[in-house]
Amino acid sequence: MTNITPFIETRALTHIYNEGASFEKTALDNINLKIEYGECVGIIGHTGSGKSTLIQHLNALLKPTSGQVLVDGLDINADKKALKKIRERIGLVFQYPEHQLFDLTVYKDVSFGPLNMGISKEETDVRVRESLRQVGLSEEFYEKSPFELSGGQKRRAAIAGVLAMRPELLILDEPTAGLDRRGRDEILNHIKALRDEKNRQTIILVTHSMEDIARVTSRLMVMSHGKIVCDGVSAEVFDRKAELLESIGLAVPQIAELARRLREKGVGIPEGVMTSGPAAEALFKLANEKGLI
Amino acid sequence: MKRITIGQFYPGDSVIHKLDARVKLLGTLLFITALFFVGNFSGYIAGAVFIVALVQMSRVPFKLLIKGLRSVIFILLFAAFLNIFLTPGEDVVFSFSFIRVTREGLSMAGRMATRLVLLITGSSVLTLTTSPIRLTDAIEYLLMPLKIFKVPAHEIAMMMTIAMSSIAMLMDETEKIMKAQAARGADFETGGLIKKAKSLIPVMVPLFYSAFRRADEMAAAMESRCYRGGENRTRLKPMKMTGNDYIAAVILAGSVILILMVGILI
Repeated sequence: MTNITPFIETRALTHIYNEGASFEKTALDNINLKIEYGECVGIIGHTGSGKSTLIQHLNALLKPTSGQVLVDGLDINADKKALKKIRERIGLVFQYPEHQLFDLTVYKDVSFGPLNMGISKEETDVRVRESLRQVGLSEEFYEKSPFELSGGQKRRAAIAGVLAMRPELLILDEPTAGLDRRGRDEILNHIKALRDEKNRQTIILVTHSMEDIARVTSRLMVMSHGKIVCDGVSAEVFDRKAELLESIGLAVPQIAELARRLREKGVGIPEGVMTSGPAAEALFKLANEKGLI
Repeated sequence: MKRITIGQFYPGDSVIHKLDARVKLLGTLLFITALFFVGNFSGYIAGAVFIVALVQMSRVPFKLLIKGLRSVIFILLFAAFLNIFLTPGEDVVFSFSFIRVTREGLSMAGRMATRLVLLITGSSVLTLTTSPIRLTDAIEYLLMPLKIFKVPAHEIAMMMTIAMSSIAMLMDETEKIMKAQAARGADFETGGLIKKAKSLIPVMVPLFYSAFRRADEMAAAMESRCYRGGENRTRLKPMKMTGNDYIAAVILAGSVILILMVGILI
């Protein structure tokens, strides 16, 4: 493991906004992380914890104040000409789709990325169709203006706009913030599908919602005041680090919390139960075993 | 984007920051007016000393002032060039076909450039140490006498406040949009003029969209709070002249008179 170069690595990554001014702010403080191909990582933390700053370093939109960001072992800030290539490999979808949707139709907007990469019209067409399918926008949306879409649909169109570039790593910044239950479910299901599809998309999901993390990601990084305070398998973090999470004001997902408390009382719910489906199953099984039903 | 420092506010709690905005505004106006009467270099030196002293007292880094100058360097050079070539004079220093550079022209250009530098740094001291809200409050106050002529002082001030707070918001927004598009491979740096202009479409469309949406939301928010401007509105932070403010006003007026005297008499 140690001699294999990780896909993404940061070394002592530090970023200070307005360095030298009286209002300077350390947004990232000595971040060291490694992410492998095929992983699905959740980054969680409060507003201002540095998570948005961190992901913007991964595709060189922000330059480190000190430290390095390595992709396949190469420093992405070393060669300015390689920037474009890096941004093709690391796809970043920002929180607000309003910041990127601009073209007359959804179809044209999604083809913006691939065309910028210099990909042929035919290949672009294939990619646009595929990525719109992946986010669940059918052909009837192709000729619609992106501004007519609902909030959730805009978000999905924006994700498709980045997916069409076929990035090796897809970073989603708060993809569910401000959406209603249904919009949220749809997005999360599509993200999950991306993971499960044959290509096993590498994903970083930034959020402040524990429920999102519980439903989609397998690994969890917790950020607080510019530092990664916790990094591990999502289920284990929820089960074992509940107090740490609470101390920085992040609540464990309700179901995971319930399962943990039941376990403390001696009810045999297995570790790693975080969502309602498996929890119901476990309870049902227990009730059956005890002959309650 | 971040290089534009004219009109930027640098928060602090120095004497200059705390000074009543009306005093600062009037002082700046006086100073700028005085600059136009000063015609010799000793006057400019006095002006420069005045500004340096103010900046020292405000504890705003000099770097910020220099940066502010950097963004208007073209206007400065343009003004200087025009003066060098277009000032009529006897004492020709250099000539080439129809171009004549005279001693008068050079000295005029030098004075013009110095005057502009002082003017810009002087007003920067005002904006750097005064929050936009205070500043517009002060402007509203000074426009008050014009109400007799039905000048809508409050409305003008309110529009300025909104415009100023929007600048920061729009710059912020532009940056975010540019990043979002850069993440999709948009290239704002290379190519000719037309290509560069075209590359701004994916930035301008979302920017206008969100600006209009925000304006709408803001209007709704103001209306739902029964905003109706003008008469009988009180302020969150009432403007009150304290003893210090009066003393500062006298010192400011004194310094400007001194600059004038140095500039005209010596």
